[in-house]
Amino acid sequence: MGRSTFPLYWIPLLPLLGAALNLLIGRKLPRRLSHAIGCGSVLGALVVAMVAVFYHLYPAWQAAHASVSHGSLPPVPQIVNPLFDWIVAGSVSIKLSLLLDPLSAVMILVITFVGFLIHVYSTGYMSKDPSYARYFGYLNLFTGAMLILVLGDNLVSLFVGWEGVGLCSYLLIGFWFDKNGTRVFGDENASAGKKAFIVNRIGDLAFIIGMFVIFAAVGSLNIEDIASNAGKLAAGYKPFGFGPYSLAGIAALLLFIGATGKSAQIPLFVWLPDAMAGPTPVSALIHAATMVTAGVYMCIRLNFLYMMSPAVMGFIAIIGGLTALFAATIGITQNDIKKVLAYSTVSQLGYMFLAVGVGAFSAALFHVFTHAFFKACLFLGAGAVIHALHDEQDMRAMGGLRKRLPITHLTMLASTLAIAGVPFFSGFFSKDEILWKTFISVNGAPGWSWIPSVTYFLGLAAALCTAFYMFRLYYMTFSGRIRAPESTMKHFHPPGPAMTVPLIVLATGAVLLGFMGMPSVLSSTNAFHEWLAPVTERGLHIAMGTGLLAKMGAKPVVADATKAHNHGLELGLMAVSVLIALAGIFLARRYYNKYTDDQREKLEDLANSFGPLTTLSQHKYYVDEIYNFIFVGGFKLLAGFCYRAADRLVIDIIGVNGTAAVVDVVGKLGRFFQNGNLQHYVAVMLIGVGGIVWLVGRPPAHMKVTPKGPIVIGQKVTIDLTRDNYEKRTLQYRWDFEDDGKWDFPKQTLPPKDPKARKRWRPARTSSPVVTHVFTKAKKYSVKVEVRDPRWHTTRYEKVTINVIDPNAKKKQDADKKKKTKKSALPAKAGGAPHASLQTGGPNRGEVR
Amino acid sequence: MSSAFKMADFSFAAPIIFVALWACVVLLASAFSTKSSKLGPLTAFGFVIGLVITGYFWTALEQPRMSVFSGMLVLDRFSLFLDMIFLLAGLLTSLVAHGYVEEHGFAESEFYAVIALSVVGMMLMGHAGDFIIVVIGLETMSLGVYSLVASWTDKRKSTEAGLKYFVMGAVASGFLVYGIALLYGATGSTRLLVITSRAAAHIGDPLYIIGLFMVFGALAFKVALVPFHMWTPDAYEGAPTPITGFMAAAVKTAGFGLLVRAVSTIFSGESFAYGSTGWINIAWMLSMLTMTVGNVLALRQTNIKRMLAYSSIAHAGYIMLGVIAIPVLGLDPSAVLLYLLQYAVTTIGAFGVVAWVGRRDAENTGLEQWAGLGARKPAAALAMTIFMLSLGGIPPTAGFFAKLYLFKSAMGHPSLLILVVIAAINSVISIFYYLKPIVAMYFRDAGGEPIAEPMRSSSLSVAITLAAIIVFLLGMVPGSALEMAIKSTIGG
Repeated sequence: MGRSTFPLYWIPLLPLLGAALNLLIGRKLPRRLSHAIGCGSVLGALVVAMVAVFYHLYPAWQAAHASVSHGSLPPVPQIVNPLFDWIVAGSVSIKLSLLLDPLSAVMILVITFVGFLIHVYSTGYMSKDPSYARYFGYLNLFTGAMLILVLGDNLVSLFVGWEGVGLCSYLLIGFWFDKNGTRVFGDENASAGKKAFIVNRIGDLAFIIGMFVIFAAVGSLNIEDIASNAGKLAAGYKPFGFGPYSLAGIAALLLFIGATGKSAQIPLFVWLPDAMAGPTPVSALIHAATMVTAGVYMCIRLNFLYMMSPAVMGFIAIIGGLTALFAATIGITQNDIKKVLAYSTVSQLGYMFLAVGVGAFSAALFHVFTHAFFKACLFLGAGAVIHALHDEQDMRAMGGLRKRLPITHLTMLASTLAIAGVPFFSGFFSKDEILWKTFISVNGAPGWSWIPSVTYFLGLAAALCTAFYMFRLYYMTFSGRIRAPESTMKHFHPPGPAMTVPLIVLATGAVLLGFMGMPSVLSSTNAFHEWLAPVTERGLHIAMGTGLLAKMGAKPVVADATKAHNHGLELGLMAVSVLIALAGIFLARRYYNKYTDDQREKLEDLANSFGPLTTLSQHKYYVDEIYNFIFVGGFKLLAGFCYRAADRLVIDIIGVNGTAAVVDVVGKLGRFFQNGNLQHYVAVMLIGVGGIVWLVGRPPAHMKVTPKGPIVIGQKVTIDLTRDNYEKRTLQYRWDFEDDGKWDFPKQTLPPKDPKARKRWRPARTSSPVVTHVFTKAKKYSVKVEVRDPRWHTTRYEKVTINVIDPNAKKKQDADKKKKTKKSALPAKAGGAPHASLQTGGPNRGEVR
Repeated sequence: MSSAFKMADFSFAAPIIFVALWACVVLLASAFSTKSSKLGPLTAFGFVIGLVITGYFWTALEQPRMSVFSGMLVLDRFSLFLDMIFLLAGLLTSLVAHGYVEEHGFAESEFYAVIALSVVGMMLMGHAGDFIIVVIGLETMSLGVYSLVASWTDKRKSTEAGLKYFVMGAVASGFLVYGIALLYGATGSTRLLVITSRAAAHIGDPLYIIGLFMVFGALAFKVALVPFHMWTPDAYEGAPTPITGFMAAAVKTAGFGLLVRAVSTIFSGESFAYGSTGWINIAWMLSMLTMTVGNVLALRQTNIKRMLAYSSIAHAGYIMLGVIAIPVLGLDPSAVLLYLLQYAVTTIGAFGVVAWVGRRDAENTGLEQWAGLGARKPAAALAMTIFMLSLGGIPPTAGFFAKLYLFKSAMGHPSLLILVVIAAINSVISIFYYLKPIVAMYFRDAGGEPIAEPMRSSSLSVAITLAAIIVFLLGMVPGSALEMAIKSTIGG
């Protein structure tokens, strides 16, 4: 493995330092310094990232690439930067290091480059905002966290970044929590932030459990360790009789559920459209270009894990395809420009997961890459429109801005063409690659072979919708007549260079970057694919190495070799995609090019002719309402119950009042002792030492009586005072079985009459802690023992009650009863017992006394 | 066991000798300078050098144990780690005291020299290989601390606290010396290792065992285990605030250091640990009582110093749990050492903030006086929050990690597991009162005039910042400190 080192830590550290400065002392800094810190730190990170990638990783990659012989697996070029040992104690060792490989290289370049442009754009967009430094602080914090997410070499740091970006997302969605000074509006923003946070939390729970599963099986969360010990995840078992499921499959599914939260997939996508409450550059950076792709990144990073479970991959493909179509159909009927883009993002993320689900990992990342550019450009363009029209977001009140916002118009047109999939724009290459790879893939899980064809048509349908709603957005915004009120147009805010330059750069990227990943039918080399090959191609190899698939009777998710080389088929499908895109554009042009009131009524009629379908789409399929009813309502019911049962009863009445009462009593006691009186204190201390010495000096006397329970007359009873092996003191005992004040065992002699001898005389004691005795009467005996430590001169008396019963007493009664009915059988038995008791009782009595 | 010692022995005692000499330097400096304003930083500087020397000794020590002065002093990584805690505590205390003494203008110039000399006493306790040294060290430390507690002679509470502490300390010393006499009577030696080697002949011997518990009682007094804790609230409240922190941090550490050494020498062996004469049962009960009584009594306090005094009692209970775990589970003392280190820094930091909030003629130790501090002094409030979270054992602070490590390492034995559960419940209870200052600072509105107007002192700010950073780092990246603690084993 081509491993070398480089101080990678500067890449996340610079934005984090910027965040620290802006958040801690930002209020005191002039605005210029605030944004200089904000943009400068990200620019610095970009420069370091570029040096790391182009001067260090690229040579390593070339060397690795050159060394590949045909058919062998390319080694992964890596730059490792060990940071520190977080915890090293005994067997637990958590080491943190950063890892740069072709995958994280693409991510850090996108994050820092697009991030930098959006920071610059923000200086224009947010120029009037009072919380300028706070904004840049959060944005820097986000960038740092996102870089940690992609650079971490283990799932723990990935998760730290994962939560960090979630936090920043929350903070920035609710950034205008007091917007316009109206609480109602501000509350809405704040609750959108909360919604994003809570929905993500659901996914995160699954993510954490997935990490636990991996840790339990592999014993490490380091990604390279997991990859090299993937065999340990191959164990399969049948929970509740279903299955069999493999550990790898369970972990992969749990992690994917985490990804559906972060990357807004069905069923956890509901937070993303609401997240548009944040400032538009935030939507561009966090909710389009970077953070929401974290789930896709995670799946690509762990591609070997997913390759081990074709069923989970089929599931991901279905979820991705459904999300792509579902969100696209909602996008068609939305009128808020940012909402359209939000659903568009959900839909495009669906494409990325579709690619993951069919094993086209590099196609997934390629779409992440191109999407970052054209979607950021679209959001920033929308931001420029909103900014120009004084926070107007409704497309019905836009129109005709082509001449007023020429640069915005051109850049947005380029990006719209890209996302619609018009040939030779970047989105065309990336989206078409996904559709192609979907079409030719084979899902080897038993019973899942229908996945590729079904998901292909989902993707194709979504492509039609995408072209339609994106050009609907374009036409409604830029063509036709100006529908904004006169007053707004009078104070029209054209964007300054801080906003237009990033737009131009991003649009250029949206146009040109597709050529990095040309399909094989058009070009002999696919640079992007080759660059990623070391990471993405080893997944299959590792998965096959574990032998799991064979054990489960499945085949891996791979491309169909004959179809893959059929150029005619590829060209044909490409033509289909292009036609679909053009059809969507044509439809949008037909209905929305001249959006007038007449047209509007016509459109409404048309929409109504679709009946419930339109209503469903307009109301986003009532997903929010359904979730509200089932989950929020259910939760409220549960919470109400908990409030009454737990809060009112347990906490208020028992907990608070009870604790208060106890504390009160203890406090009074404490005050009684802690009264400031020195003599008192010394006395307590003396009592303390005295008490300890008393406790220690007292001979131990733990009695164990066998057998337990009531004793029958004549039964041997053992009383045992033996202590554990640690007891080293020599003790002496004597016993009084009747508690009559006379020591029964050992047998006592009377003290001698002679005074001299009397002085030396000691009562008889035994050193054995075990004594056996037979009790002769049916009564409660109180047995007394004296334990004496001759060295300490301490004596202790203990008593134990032994309940002796006569078994015949009851039998006699029974017998008497039975005698009345049956006289023949009983006499022999009834007569036997007392006889025996006499026999055993006799000699014993003599022995004791 | 020849009675002669080599000149080289002096070089091995260099950390102790250096601090003692530095105390003389500070005394001399105070005699020649009219202003006492430079003495605090001067003392702190000495402690920094002391830390460097001790750190060098820690890394350079080749054997697990060295006996110097014919066995009177012991040099092992355990004692050197303790030295570092004492020196760090001394450093932070002299910085805090510098600001405090300037503001309130009470102390004589000997103040700082006495701090240094009590640190010498503590170091002697840590290195003691003989009971004679134990007594000398303990008395050197105690006499210094008595006078420090009473140093604010204008303040009735201070002198009262000093006298109380002195009288009770004298009783405790009496126990110690009497216990040593009994041990000497039983074994014929005052050397710890010699006593240990002859102990086998005294299993169940009341002379030896009462001697042991007398020594135990005296040390329990120094670390404030219930029922030997009665002096703590009064002495802590009356003492000048920096000295309160010094007592909670350094004196407690010295006591526990000696306790750990005793546990691994004269108390060692299963016959002394278990059974009816064993110390484990007694220590178990004291630990349980200490943490519970400390926490429950802290709940009602409205004076921050008194609250922290009870909190320090509760922490003694937790540390005792760690001490018990050492012989029971055959552990190294790393959990106790790490806990002592973080507790020392956290508690001095907390008392540092308490000192900082006060002005001349207004000490502002009432919780209600802290209202609204979070908005007016965010940095200090943040530091206090970190310290309180650390004391309560909430991540990402040092207190959390140390407590986790201590509890986790003690959990291996069923009877200790019960104690760990009790300790965990106690920790939860304690969070209630640790949150009280935070609530006061952030959620109570002072309304109108601010009640507490903090002093301005750069050295105090430096001390608080340093402590906060250490607490935070120990919580976030405890790796290297833990590794050091694990390496700090008791030699022989």
